[in-house]
Amino acid sequence: MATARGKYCIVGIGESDLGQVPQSTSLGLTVQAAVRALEDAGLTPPQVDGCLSKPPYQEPTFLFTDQLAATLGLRLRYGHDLHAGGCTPVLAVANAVRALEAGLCHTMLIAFGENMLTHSKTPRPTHGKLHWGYEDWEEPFGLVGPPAGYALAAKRHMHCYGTTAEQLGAIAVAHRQHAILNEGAQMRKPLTLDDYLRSPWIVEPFRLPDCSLVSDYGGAFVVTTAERAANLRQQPVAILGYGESHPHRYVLQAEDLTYCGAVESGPAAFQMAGIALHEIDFAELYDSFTYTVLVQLEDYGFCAKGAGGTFVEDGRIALGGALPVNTHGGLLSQAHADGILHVTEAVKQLRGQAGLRQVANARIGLVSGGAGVLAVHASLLLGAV
Amino acid sequence: MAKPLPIITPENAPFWEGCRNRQLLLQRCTACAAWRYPPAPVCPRCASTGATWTPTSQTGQVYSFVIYRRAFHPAYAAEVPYAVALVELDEGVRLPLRIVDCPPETLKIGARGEIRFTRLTDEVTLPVFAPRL
Repeated sequence: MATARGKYCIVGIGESDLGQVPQSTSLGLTVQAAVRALEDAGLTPPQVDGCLSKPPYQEPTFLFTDQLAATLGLRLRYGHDLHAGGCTPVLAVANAVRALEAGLCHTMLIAFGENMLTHSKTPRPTHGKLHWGYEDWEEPFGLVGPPAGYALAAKRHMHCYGTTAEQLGAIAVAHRQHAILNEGAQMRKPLTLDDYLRSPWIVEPFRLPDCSLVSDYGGAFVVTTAERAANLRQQPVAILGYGESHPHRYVLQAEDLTYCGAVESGPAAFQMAGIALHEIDFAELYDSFTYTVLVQLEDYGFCAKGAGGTFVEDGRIALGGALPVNTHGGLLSQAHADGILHVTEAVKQLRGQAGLRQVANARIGLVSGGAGVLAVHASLLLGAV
Repeated sequence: MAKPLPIITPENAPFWEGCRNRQLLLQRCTACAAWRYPPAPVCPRCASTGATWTPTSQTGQVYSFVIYRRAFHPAYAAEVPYAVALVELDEGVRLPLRIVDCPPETLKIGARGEIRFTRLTDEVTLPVFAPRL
């Protein structure tokens, strides 16, 4: 992709109904988002010849991408399942660029969704259970559930750099302010710092608003060549650079648990794009927890190591601040969509279609993805054309 | 409800056998002397497959810790609040371990302590960490 800068574009985006969508299924939410993305692009199914999707966690499904393609009536020349949790959307963009560059297809639909919230309330019998990798060396030792690994990292960060609860709270508050401006967001009840500090503990040092939501969601976008993009309905958004990093699999393997993979994936993406950090107008950063945002701000270099807590104070990451972060409300307040709505929001910002949440003169945006517990990290730079 | 239990395989059986004997055994690479955990068929530092199950000091310190205020598995509901630490053994290896004999509120990063063992079933005895207060 070193030579691919600006040659490929995102030309259509789609989001399903979000939050709690009664009676929803993972395939149904995915299809709803995909249809909206094709409609947005002005494309019909016969014009799509590539597809990447992510099988749902709750119902791991064989050949899920082919099930989606068959449902939509796509005839694929290229397609497969890609499952890297919240890194999936960014890894899928890179995968799409490689496939387009190799001439394996010309128009790639990336779409996935999950009825996580509905499923959690009405468990259905499943035919198989995903092996997460935590079953043998974490869960029997008491380390159960998504927050604990990130909470270990946050606690270490607080110990090493003096990061405070109020600073984590400032991140939660900024995300909620953005979600309030986002009509489809799941959490639109105002949240003050006092509300945050009075919220119940989940896994200390995390309180409830430190943790991302459980949501029904679907997201989709279409990647094609700049040449084809020129004839489509929407102003295209260019793919400028990309990087990924795989520092460890389990928290116990992390060399220094106060860092994340952005220290490697960030420079790779910026070098490919040929742009500098100060050119970023907004960032849609993977926000599984408040701390996940804080560590990335440091590791991308928006502030010095250890200074993330100070950086997020005083509204710096809120709309109108120096670096608006997660302008849609993110996983913390919009919906937990495994990062795919970070991509669709960045596209809206770069098209100037973000309504009340629009960042003035947004030209370049950073999108990140994360998976495992700070295990996989990916960076994507997108630009207005 | 039963607590989550590990699956014992030929690859990791010596670890669990050690725990049943109240001894924390970890693999040590015969080529480069690196300790490794979790059990694995190859050394992640030098790719050698040779390893010896070796007794550890069973002492170390708290690298980080969390306090569960809400149970994420019904089998732990009666134990909330409880602490889990990422413990760094004196050998340099880190393991997540339940904290015992220490009120969670008094726990500190850097606290030194020792490995103890808690029997769960006939097959599974868990290592846990007791900070020295």
